[in-house]
Amino acid sequence: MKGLLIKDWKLMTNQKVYLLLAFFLPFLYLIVLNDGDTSFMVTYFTILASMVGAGTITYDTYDNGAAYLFTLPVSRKGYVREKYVLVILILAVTLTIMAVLSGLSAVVRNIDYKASESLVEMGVAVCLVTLLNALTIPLNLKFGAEKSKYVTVIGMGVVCLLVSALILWEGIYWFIDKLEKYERLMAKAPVKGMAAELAGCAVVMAVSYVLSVRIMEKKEF
Amino acid sequence: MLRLEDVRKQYKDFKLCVSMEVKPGYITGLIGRNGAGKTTAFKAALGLIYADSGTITVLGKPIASLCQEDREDIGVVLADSGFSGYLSIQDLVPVLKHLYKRFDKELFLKKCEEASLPVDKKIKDFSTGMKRKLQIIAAVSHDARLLVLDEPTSGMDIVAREEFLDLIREYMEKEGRAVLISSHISGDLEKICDDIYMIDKGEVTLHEETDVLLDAYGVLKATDAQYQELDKSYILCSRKERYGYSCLTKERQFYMENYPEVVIEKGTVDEIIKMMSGGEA
Repeated sequence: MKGLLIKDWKLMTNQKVYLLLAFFLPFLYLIVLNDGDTSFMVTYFTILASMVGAGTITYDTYDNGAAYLFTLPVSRKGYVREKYVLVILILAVTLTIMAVLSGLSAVVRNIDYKASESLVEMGVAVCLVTLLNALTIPLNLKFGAEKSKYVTVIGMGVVCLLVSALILWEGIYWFIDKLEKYERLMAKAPVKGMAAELAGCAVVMAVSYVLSVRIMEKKEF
Repeated sequence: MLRLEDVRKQYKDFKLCVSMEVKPGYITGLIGRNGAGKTTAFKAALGLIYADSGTITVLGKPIASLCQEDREDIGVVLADSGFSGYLSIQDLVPVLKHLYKRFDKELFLKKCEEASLPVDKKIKDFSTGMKRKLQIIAAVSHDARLLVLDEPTSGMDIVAREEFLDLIREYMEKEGRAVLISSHISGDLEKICDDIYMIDKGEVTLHEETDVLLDAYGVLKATDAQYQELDKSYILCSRKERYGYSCLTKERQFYMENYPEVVIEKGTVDEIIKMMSGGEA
């Protein structure tokens, strides 16, 4: 797995402009422009950075490269495992960076830093990133880079339609109420809330991993 | 080292049905026209596609039970695939070092330098020949016991091809190694292969030791009248030509002695491919 992780690290660090945008812009925002609301930046850049991990599948399949990759001492299951480890590692590193930057930003900009709010933001980011990767990885493996883009767009469209339908049915305040309840719950018992979130994410990732292994084991190159 | 027994794979418009073996100490060639099934056979042998039926044994184990350590004993060149184009050679070094326990970094970099491969350039910017060279060098840099090389000389000039042949000869100096190789440049195979399989429309149509192929095989160029007179017991296939018939035989000597008036040329892999895939049996 170490060899594959190094390969992906090299692939990611070769995307210098993307990485610069992913890490320099939040740094700039949090240190220079931060007015106290860091939720958008934390979520946005955590997602942005995490997408680089799943994106390495695209580089692996470029020019039919996957066929050669599986002639190396790399098992199909091991390959899938490495992708999930990679996205979890990226998520952990990005969240750590974001937490440090948020704290630093609060000190530099003299803003009141609320750890519970920051925890809620990060919880939301973890959930979104998990969901996104849990969908993107098997889709990328099943349909390849090009086709999976269309499938993702169609999937997102369906989700948007469902959410819109739910809003129309229940009303927008129903959502706001749920969000507020969630925030109150996290403020009340942040550790328990975080643990529950992480457990939920672990289940989603585990299901996605099993699905990805099945896809890979059936795949021909 | 590698055995395919009655391996079958059915596609919509193509069917593979092959049996072949690569013995220890042997360089075995696989020849055939484009689309004959060479790459499909290679992919089946490497477990990249699943056979519908038949048995594939690699290094004494069924292909499905090959573990990571076993895979380290195989070096591969694929005609239509390679390392990620977004990596450079210097990016590959730590990757290969962690994938192969016996990866020889010094040898790898030395060979890359000898082959004039730039270490800091992205592989996607390499020419086809350079990409092949890189795969070949990687394949021989981790002490593999078996090399599976699909069109390794594709895109290479004559000098590079000669260097490649030398590299394979050097690789075979160590005992217990074997190579399966395909190439559309038959001259390359004639020079290094111990035996050759010919594949046509997904099936093996010929298997012969290279020495026998070059010494005993021949192509008779007979006029219509000469063709009528010929003893056809040893004619493998024949084809109608403008001047009469060309016939492939495994008994060149017999026809040279008994039909001195007929023009008989020595067998070459190219001629054999041409005759076997276009001639009438």
